[in-house]
Amino acid sequence: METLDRTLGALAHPVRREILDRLILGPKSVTELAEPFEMSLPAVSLHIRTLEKAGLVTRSRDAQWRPCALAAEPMGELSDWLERYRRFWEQSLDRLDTYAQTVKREEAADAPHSED
Amino acid sequence: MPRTPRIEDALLSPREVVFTRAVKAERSLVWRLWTESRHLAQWWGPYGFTNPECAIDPRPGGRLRILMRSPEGGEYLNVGAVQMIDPPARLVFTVALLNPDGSRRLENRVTADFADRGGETEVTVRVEVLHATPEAREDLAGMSDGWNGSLHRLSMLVEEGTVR
Repeated sequence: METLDRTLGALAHPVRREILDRLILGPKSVTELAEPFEMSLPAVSLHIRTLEKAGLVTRSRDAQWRPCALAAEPMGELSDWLERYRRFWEQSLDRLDTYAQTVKREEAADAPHSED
Repeated sequence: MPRTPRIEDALLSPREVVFTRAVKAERSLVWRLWTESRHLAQWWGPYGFTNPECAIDPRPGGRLRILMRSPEGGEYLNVGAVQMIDPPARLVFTVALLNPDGSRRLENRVTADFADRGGETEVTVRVEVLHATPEAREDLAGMSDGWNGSLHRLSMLVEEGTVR
């Protein structure tokens, strides 16, 4: 789950989340991506590199302006993982409720009957 | 900012998942089902899973160890530590899910709150993804005695609050 760890690490910063958010609409250059942020171009580039390392963003080698694009695969993995996690807890809590009824019945049966 | 469609919404705030359930039992009973090993073994995990090994030590710093078996026979080890315990209202523990090959999945912090609803109990489970610091990751990568020791060290780090 190394990838997942990296994915979450990359998503942990609001600037990086916003960069991804904007890439959903299509590829953009670093300059375009940096525009809304009040930070230097190198600082934004650093965030983009983190996203690249996590495999969330790819940069084409061929074009002059090397646009950044969204790579969906790790995101898919994360979403699968969250889904599995959801299932784990939803079903565990179902089982908890069912089991609680069983224990209630057993303990009621075991309780000493009070007699005058 | 245009609104994001599809999976991205879930993805851009994936740090925490919350579940709530009304359990038709007294809070004192629900509390026991969470904190006594023999009871925990009966409900932990998805449908069809069993827990051939299950131990929780319900004290601050107490260890949690659950070996889950899937209907297909796959085994998954959960290990963690109790971080905070306030009977019968709140239980906080870490749990790391390990893959069948022993490789580590993410570690989580689980906060379970139990609210008395007059004979019923409202259970709220908050699951947070814990982030290992880069140092902790290097620690983990460099451990020679395998993941057991690593996880132990990671739980220690978590308890010291150095892992965020």
